Amino acid sequence: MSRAKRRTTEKGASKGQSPITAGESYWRGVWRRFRRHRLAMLGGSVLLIFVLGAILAPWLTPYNFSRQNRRNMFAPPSFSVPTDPRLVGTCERPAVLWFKCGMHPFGTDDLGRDILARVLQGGRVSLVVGFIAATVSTLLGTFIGAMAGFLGGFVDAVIGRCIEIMLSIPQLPLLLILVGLLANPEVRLAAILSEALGDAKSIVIIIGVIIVLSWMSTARLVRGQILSLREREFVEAAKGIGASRLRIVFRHLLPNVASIVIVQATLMLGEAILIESGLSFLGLGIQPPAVSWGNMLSRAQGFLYYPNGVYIALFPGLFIFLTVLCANFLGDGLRDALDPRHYSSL
Amino acid sequence: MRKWGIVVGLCLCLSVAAWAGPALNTLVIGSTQEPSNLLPWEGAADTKENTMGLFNVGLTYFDSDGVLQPGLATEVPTEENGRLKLFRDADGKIVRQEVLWTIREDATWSDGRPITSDDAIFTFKVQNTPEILVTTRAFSNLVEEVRKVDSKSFWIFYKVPNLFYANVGGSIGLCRFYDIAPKHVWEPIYDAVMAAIAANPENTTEIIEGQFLGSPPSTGTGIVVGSGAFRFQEWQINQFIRFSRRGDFFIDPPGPAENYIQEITFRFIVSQPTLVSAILAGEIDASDDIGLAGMDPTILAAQLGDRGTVEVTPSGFIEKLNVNLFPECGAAADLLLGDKRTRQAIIQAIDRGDLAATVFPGATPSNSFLVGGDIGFNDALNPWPYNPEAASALLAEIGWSDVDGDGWLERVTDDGREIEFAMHWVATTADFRVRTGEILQEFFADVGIKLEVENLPGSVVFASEYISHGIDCSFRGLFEYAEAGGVGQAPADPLSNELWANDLLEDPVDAALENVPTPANSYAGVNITGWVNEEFDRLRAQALQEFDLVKRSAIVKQMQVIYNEELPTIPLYDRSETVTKAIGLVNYTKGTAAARTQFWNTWEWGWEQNGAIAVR
Amino acid sequence: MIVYLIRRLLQVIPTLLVISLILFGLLALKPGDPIDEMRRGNPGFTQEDYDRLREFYGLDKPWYVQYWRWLGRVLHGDFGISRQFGRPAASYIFRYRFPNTVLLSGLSLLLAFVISVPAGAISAIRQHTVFDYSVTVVNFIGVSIPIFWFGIMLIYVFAVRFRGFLPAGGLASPGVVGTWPVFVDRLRHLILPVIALSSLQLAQWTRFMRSSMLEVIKLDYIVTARAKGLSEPVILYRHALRNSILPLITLIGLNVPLLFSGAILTETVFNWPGMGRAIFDAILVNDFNVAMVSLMFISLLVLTFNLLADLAYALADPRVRYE
Repeated sequence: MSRAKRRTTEKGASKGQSPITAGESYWRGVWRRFRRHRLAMLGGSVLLIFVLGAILAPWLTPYNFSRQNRRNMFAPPSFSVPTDPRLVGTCERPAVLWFKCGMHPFGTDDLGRDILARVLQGGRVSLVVGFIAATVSTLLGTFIGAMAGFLGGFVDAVIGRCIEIMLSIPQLPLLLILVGLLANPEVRLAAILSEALGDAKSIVIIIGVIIVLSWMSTARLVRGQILSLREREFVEAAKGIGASRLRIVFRHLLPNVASIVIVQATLMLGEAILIESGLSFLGLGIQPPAVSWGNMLSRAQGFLYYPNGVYIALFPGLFIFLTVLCANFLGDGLRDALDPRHYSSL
Repeated sequence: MRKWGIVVGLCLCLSVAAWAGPALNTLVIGSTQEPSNLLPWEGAADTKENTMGLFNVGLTYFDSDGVLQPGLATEVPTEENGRLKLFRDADGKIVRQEVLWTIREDATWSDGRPITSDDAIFTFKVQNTPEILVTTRAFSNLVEEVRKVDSKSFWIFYKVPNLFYANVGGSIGLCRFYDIAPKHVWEPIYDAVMAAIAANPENTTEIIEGQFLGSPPSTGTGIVVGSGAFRFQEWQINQFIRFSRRGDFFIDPPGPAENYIQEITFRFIVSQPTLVSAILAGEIDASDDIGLAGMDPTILAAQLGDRGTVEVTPSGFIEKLNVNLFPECGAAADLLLGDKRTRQAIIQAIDRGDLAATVFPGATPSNSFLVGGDIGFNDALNPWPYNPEAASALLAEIGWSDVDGDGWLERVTDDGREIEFAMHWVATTADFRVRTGEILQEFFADVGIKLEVENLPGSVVFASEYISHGIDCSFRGLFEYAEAGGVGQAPADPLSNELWANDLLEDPVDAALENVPTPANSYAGVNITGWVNEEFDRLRAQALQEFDLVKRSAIVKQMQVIYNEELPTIPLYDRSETVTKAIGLVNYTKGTAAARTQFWNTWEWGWEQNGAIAVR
Repeated sequence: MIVYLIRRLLQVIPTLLVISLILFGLLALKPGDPIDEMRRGNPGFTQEDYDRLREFYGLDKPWYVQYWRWLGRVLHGDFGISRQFGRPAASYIFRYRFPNTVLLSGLSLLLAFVISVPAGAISAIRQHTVFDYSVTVVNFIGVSIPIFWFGIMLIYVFAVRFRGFLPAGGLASPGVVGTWPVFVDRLRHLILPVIALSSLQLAQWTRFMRSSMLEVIKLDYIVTARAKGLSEPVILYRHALRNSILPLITLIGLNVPLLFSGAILTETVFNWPGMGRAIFDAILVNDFNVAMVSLMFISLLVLTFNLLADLAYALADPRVRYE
């Protein structure tokens, strides 16, 4: 849960750096360096495939992810089509290319649903949680951090205090309290959310709670970075020629923190997916019938000792693992590519 | 890395001796739930009853055949042996009841002191102290006086007659394992607490919490005295409670007592998968009746192989869908849930046999508010077989149809609004209920009802702000949970439970209304769905007065006919309990649901390998 | 320096107050209280009983009044009684939960530290070798695997498939006596949870150590030392290693308090009665006093370790100044 926070203390954040001005050659260099980072390229490509798979999920399998067939529960992964039509169950379409109705390449789950279809659908939810939580929390953190760093004085003191308080409250318990609170129809906000969102409510709550609890590390990083940049010659120069404050922030300061922010966001993606799975394990994550990798995995533990029950755990676990792994590869590659000084690993 | 290699190696060498139940003549029992205290007056959780059962015995107990046996008492009071006296008025109505109990001469507490009628009278006094937190005051509400005859005998005088005077589970007859508390242990504590409260009334809370709830016999940190075959040894909180065999217990197992279990460890493992792992790893000899809820017994048996057996017994609980019938809740009223045809359509839309087999292997479909096997159970009820066509027909008859062709039913209300049949279903987050929600969703979709599934933590749905506020639409359609269905209240029926009415009031109809939580009565009462039926209440009042079992059963059967037709709640299945035990463990059985707990006969548990004789 | 220290210490107090206010407010918003449980199974429970008991527990007052009362008691050193276990909340946490957490988290930290420093250093020194690559891959796996899943798999393999090789969970086996058997028994129970809990730290710290070492190696004084002809081990172990461990220690300092609350998943899987699980259960069953005392304690730990980390940094790096 606290991984993102730990990363803030990692290198390169606040030490002197040569200023970057947003120019074409810089980004071209980034791309060149990034392409040389094979693991990052691999990670990026796999993530891209997962995202595409998630987007196209409803059209990639003959089965609907929620269609049960209780005559064919706990089926092992197989490409053969059973002859008994009752074992085949109901399909949305007869086939997708060579992939026919009746095939369960990942097996079926505890209600006879196609695990592949569920993994794809779960990917939609998990990746949405990951991407939105990561993007928004990083943007929020960047904004707050930039405000604190640039405005300084009173604003900085207040924001600094807030960050410290937020970081001192144990995160996971706070998460539990918030999730519990928002799942409760007696709380007015929760009732409104329920009304507006229906089944998607738990997804929105998880995203919201992850954002609320994870913007601080980015804010701290950005603040430190801006503080050190603010005193640098090029900003002084900009001030000298009478550039407005906003212009200075957006033209000169933010591009220089972009590298940290992008890396942070990538790592946060994996982080958010892991947080969601952990919350699901404790019964507070995405609620069924909505499906996510986290809730598939947490549910699977009850079926570990069933014949073929291990596949219910294997595939969502594998996909969480691969996604987080790829996000980490990507983050690592981006760090190296965006910040040539740290071109060191791999 | 090498260091760890050494450690692992060491462990390998020493890993054998750790758990060997038969070798040391000990027993390790695993559960997912831990009691919160050992206080005799507070707490009614199943695990609390189980724990107390390990080192206590009540005045009576049910054996594995469901027969009521005397425990601490010399005999079970009946009219025949003159220990039960019923006084009738001119109309033959029973107006007063008196029960005489005698405690066995050789019954002693685990510290050697005799168990006397003073203990019973003291227990009742504490029960009646308003400052003391007790879970239920049913007993003190029903009983006028407990009067001492001599050191071993006492009378209980009832204000209101009640059939369950000798009942282990009724909490109205001092018959639970721990309904008699050791006076010599508790009196000093009680006196100190009352004196402290008298001196400092504004600190009552702190005093009760700290000095009563937190007293050493309650928290297991001091001397804990019990009446059972085992003596309390230690409570490692969140880990286990350990008990050892008493030499001076008054019931003997067949053959020498050394051949039977000498030490019991009750281990608490919060997460069910870890409990299952521990059982399969051989760390736990037997499970209790709580830990394996919803697990498939055949899978467990297959995994255990020849190392253990799996016992499935009826639990006495019925899993039900409680239907919000309050006209005040607009969302539920719009769906016409108050019309019995809607409920009849709902029950026929569910393949309950398939549901039970999938989510609760071992359970059987239910059509009554009583569990099968109960003495008053009516087996001639409409079984409501799975019949989606009949369900659709009923719904059409009420006025539902798929107007816009989207697959979901719609209707136009009297005030001209178009309503879609989208129904709310709520339950706890237990795995089998999560699966139930998903299965129900599919069954209902087949007849055009859209089910909105919600799983909330038990602490949320059972908070009174939720469960008692159906009238304010806290749950807007179906609320699934399990309720005791009679057995265990034997001669068994749920009449001593406040299911739909309040037996303390004279007029049955008023009584039912009183039991419905509304703003008028500050949401008190347990009739959470608001079903009131005059005929049902009349029969119920009649049954409560009927001490003849055959006549009483006939009335209860009539009540079930009304229930089965009206379906105020939709019965899904009779739940079962799954218990594992290592091979060779004998007499560790519940047999019937009446026994209430696996732990009723600790004195005869033993390993066959060590010469214990199987008698159950 | 002293002035700075005093100022920081003074800041801790209002911060803790604000934290307690936030936590208390959130917990108080959660519906459900112990009275509900009593009312449910109880036919004779009247509205008067309900009101009386709510007043009795002070639950009829608005949350800020309850907070004020709570604060008053806490300032007198009284954290109230655990409603779950009927004993003082503070002693419950500090006697029964905290020591277990220290044991589990302490050993995990130790294991992670002992392995990550050499692994990180060697993979930096031998950059681009097979060893380096394998360490990196293992690290990535370590940070990417869901910890509860890893734990379940460990139990599945070592406790169930290799039956009884290691215990499936818990603190200790009941009924084990004697110093040596008890020691071994405790150790056996620790192996799997320690491995699961340390996997994340291990991976992160190795990664951190590696890059820290890489940076130091390229610094001028190492280059100078090499030029002076000092032997390679002396350079690496006397100079490089020392200088690269320093930032790692700061990082560890910041990590420590998190392990006290963050081990919920590991504790749940291995049935380890630590702080994390205590907090989780307390929140679920509305055991207010236990939740508050443990959350406040962890917040205090975080603040303390933050301060210590800053001080350590200041002491170690003379360039850092505090005004």
